[in-house]
Parts: sequence; structure tokens; C-alpha cells
Amino acid sequence: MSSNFVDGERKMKPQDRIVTFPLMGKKNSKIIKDFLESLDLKVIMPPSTTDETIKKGVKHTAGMICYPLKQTLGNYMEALDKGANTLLAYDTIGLCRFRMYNQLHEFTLTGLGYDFDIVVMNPGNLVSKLKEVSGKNKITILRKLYSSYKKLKESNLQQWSEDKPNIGLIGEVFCLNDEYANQNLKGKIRHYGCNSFNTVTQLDFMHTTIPLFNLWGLKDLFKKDELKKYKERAKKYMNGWRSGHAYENLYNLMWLIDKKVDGIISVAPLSCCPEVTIEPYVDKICKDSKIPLLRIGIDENQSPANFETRLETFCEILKMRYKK
Amino acid sequence: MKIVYLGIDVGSSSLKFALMDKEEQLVDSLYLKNHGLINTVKQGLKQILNENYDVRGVGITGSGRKFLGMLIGADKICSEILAHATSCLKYCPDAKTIIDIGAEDNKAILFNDGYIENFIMNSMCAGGCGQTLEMIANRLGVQIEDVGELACKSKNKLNISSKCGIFMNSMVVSHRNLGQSNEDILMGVIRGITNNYLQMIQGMDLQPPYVFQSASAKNKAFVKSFEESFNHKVIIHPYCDVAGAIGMALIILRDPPKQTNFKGFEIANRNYRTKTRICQDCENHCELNELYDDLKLIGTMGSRCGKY
Repeated sequence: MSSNFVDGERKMKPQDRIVTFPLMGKKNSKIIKDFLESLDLKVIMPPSTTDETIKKGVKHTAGMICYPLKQTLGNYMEALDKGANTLLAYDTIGLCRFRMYNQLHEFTLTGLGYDFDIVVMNPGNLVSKLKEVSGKNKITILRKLYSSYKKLKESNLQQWSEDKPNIGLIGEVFCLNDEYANQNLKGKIRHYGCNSFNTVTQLDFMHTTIPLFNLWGLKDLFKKDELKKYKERAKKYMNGWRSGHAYENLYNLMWLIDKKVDGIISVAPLSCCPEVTIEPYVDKICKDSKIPLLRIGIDENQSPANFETRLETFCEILKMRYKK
Repeated sequence: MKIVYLGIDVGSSSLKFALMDKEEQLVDSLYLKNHGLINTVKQGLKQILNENYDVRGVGITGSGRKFLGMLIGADKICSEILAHATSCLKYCPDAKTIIDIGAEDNKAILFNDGYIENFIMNSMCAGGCGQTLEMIANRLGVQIEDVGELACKSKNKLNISSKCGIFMNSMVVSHRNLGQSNEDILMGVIRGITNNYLQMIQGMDLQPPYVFQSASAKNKAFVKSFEESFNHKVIIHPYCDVAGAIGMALIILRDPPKQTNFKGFEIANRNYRTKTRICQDCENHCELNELYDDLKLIGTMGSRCGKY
């Protein structure tokens, strides 16, 4: 084994680390890269996700596991091949399978003979782990985090269209934000003449899972929380069960419907536990308010023809209804 | 010369052609099994077109619509759901629900006052679609055309689930090894496919009149099975097997192009070939599918970035 081991435990110096992280959306990944570089870390981004990446990921994962694991494993492998030695992973302390991702990654990659260090951050130890990796003091880290947070907030801005049908996107955060996984869903919606409004952005994900970012959102607290009444209403279906984006999707869905959205697209990995659980609720809510719903399952076997047919028709129907 | 409009439906297992005149009357139609797209299209055009027709517009639908559109010069490319809906409303104007069992996709389309209200299509897996039945029929040594007649003779109800084609197949094998007759097995499979369809549409409010389209509607056992489950009569589209192509011809003739892009008869005599290459222009490395007419590049498909 390499010299990274000291007393049986891995103690790598910040300057020896070459960090990497799995991709989730081009813009978001770029912001994370800039943030890590601002901490004077050497960063190797995984190359853009391609069919080869997916092939690698699929080869070493169980067939029925959710799609993001396959893609992120492929990302890690390609980054390790390029010379990275530290994997940054995130654990939400939620209840969905995402919690196991870092352990599965570590187990699989070690089995494949890669030599690396995996740093698992969670909402509680985010700053101290970053300190450990970069060797910077906590104040610097917090300052850089805050400026990245602002950048992220800017890049996640979305608009509600006045003259085109609005399509509300709900579902799983990875599949909604990664252009490769969702076959450029937002671009295609725009191409078919509709406007998309994503309720599950990376920013929301950070707000709901990391208390720290909530703190920075404190000034928003004085504004009346627009979603509060929907959160209460969603509790009827799900008693605040925090698992993946199940609960968030329910109140976002109700918010979208009250905002007079024209259609809903639900995007989730094929066997996503939280999304499958709320399926009947979403169906019921959409049916009661007569909003068309399109459900897109994401998996490595997806055929573009099927995807485009459904999306194109969905947009056509919405445009017809909108004109009426 | 008769002015006609051509609609083509490129399905996963078959190609459908329909010619319509200005008065929205069907002039001719053709149903061909898809044995390689380029050759089948050449064959179909040879059979359906002759010098007496003046083609003023071509519309293409179905899963292979983009490629074929490039090949023969389409005036309009449209998804099959719109084509099926247009076709249904022409022949059954008060329809509320369309049932469509295709080879690899099942669809349900709901109408409200002559507008599409909602639709659903099987998402990831083609298990429990028409192709599954054909595969099992082949395995039992029965031609797909004879399945309907045979299955209607069934006396015993067998329980065969059809969520997954592979599990279904193994159930068929075990039933066969228990000495069950082909009629019972095929009817069981058809009921299984029907149940799978009903599961797909659960939560949607299907209202009669039901219109059954696609080539599966020619299969009497399917119709019987649907009538049993809905407890209501199911109307069969008069030209069920070419319904999508008719719809596409209607779409194009109601909004005709000034000048058609259709390349005409000559297609049948041209030498088309395709080539795949991995694009190296950006990091995406898409697999591109290029269509050549002899040595001339006509079009490229398959890029994620939208360059081609």
C-alpha cells in the first residue's frame, strides 16, 4: 500500500490531496469545483458523463439499485483513473438509499483495487470535514461557502412564464438536475415551446438538508414563509417523514397547483423508494385538480424515442389546453 | 392525376402507410412487417404509390419518425399519440378513450370534448405489450394472425401475470408442462396483458365509448378480454391496423405544405446506407448515426447537444 497510511490509519496532508466529487448538473458542479479550488485544493473533475461512464457504473452495481448510484460510481472511477485520490461524498442522514451511497462506493471501489481516501460529510460535520481536507480554518471555509452559496442561488433562479404553458418539475434531485440523466429535459421542454419550473433545485436540497444554509436564509424568515400552509397540508398525507424528497414534493406540488401550473412532470429513478411511495398521492392530487401528469422513470436503459414521444405529446397537449 | 396525402407510421415491429385524398377519404393503405427500415420503406412506397398519384404532402409518425423523415423528406413529423387521436376522432367523433396495444408500447388516450385530456404510455419496459404475445405464440408454434381465433376457443381460465416478459415466459413453460392446451395458455397470456394494461391506467378515469386501435384490435381474443374487464362494449377502429398512418395523413392534409419535401419514387432506386461514428467535438462523445445517399451525407442524428 502507498505511503498514505500512517499507523494503520489514513492521514493525508492537504497538499497531497487531489479531490474529486460526482457530477450533478454542469453549472452546479462548476460552482462546487470553484469552491474547492478557492480552498487551495487540487481538484480533478470527473470528465463529462458519457455512455462509457454509465457502462462502467452499471457493470459494478446491482441491477435494481437506483440510477444515480450507477452514474456517480462511473464518475468516481473516471476521476480516479485521471489521478484523484480523495473522494468527497455526502450523506444527508435521511432515510432513503442515498445514505448508503458512500459506503457502497467505498466498498465497490476498494474491491476494484483503487487506492483512495473517502471523506464523508454530513450536515453536522460539513465544516469540520472541510477543515480536515483543506487545512484551512473554519472562518475561511464559512466565508468561501457563503460566496459559493450566493453564486448557487443566482444560477438556480427560475422564472414563471406569462405567455407559455408552465410545467412544474417534481421528483428526485439528482435526476432533475443532471442534464445527462434526464436527457436534457429542461432544454427539450423549452424546445417544445413550454416553460419549466423546477421545484427541486440543488439550493432547495441544501436548504432542507443542511441547517447551516438555513441559517443564511434567516433573513428570509422575516418574509412570510410562502410554503408554510402547504407544508401543513402535506402533513395530511405524510407526517413530515423526511425521506428523499417525498414530503418536499408533496408540498411543492400543492404550491404549484395553487400557482395555476399547466402540467406536472415527475422525474425519478426507476426504483426510487420515496417517489414510488408518494405515487398514489401525487396521482390523486393531480387528478382532483385536473392537472395533466407525466411520469418519467430514469434508468440506464432509457430509449430516447420513447422519452421524446411522451414529452413532445405532453407539451402539445398543454399548448392546446393553454390556447383553449 | 389524383391528389393524395401520405401518412406513414414507423412502429417498432411494423410500418403502416395510408393515402388520403382531399375529401378525407382513404384511398389506399398498407401494413408491412418491419424488416429493416430502409428496405421496408422502399418496398412499401413501391407497392402503394404509382404514376396516378400526385403526392402533395407527407407526414411521419412513430418511433422511427425522425430518421425516416430525413430519408424520404417529410413535411411534418408528429408523435404517434396526436396521430392516433386525430384518426380516432375522424371515425368515432364521440370517443372518450383510445386503447392502443402496440408491439413495444401500450397507450391510453383520454378525450374531453374532442380534445386530448390526458394520455399514458408504458414507461421503461416493453413487458406486457404486443411483442410479448407474439414471442409466446411463436414459442407455442402459433402464427400471430391465428392467435385470436385460437384463444377464443379457450375453456379454462389460467392465471398468467404479465408484468415481466421473462417471468411470463417461464409461467407459460410450466403451464405447458402441466399439459394445458395452447388455447388456454394464449387466452391466459392475453388476459395477463390486459391486466397489465389496466394496471398501467389505474388512477385514470376511463370513460366509454372505448375505441380500440392498433393491429392488436384485429385479435378477437384481445377485444373479448377488454370487454370482459371493462364490462362494456369496445368499438374497433374501422382501419385499426393503420390508424396512426391515417391520422398522420389527416394532420398533413388539414394543414398542407405549400411545396412538399417528398423525394418521390426515386427513393426506391437510391442506394442508402448508414454509418455510426463517435463524435469527438465535445466531451459528450455522442454516438452519431449518419445517413448517406451513395457518398453524399444527407443527415446526422443522435447528438445530445443539438449540433446535428
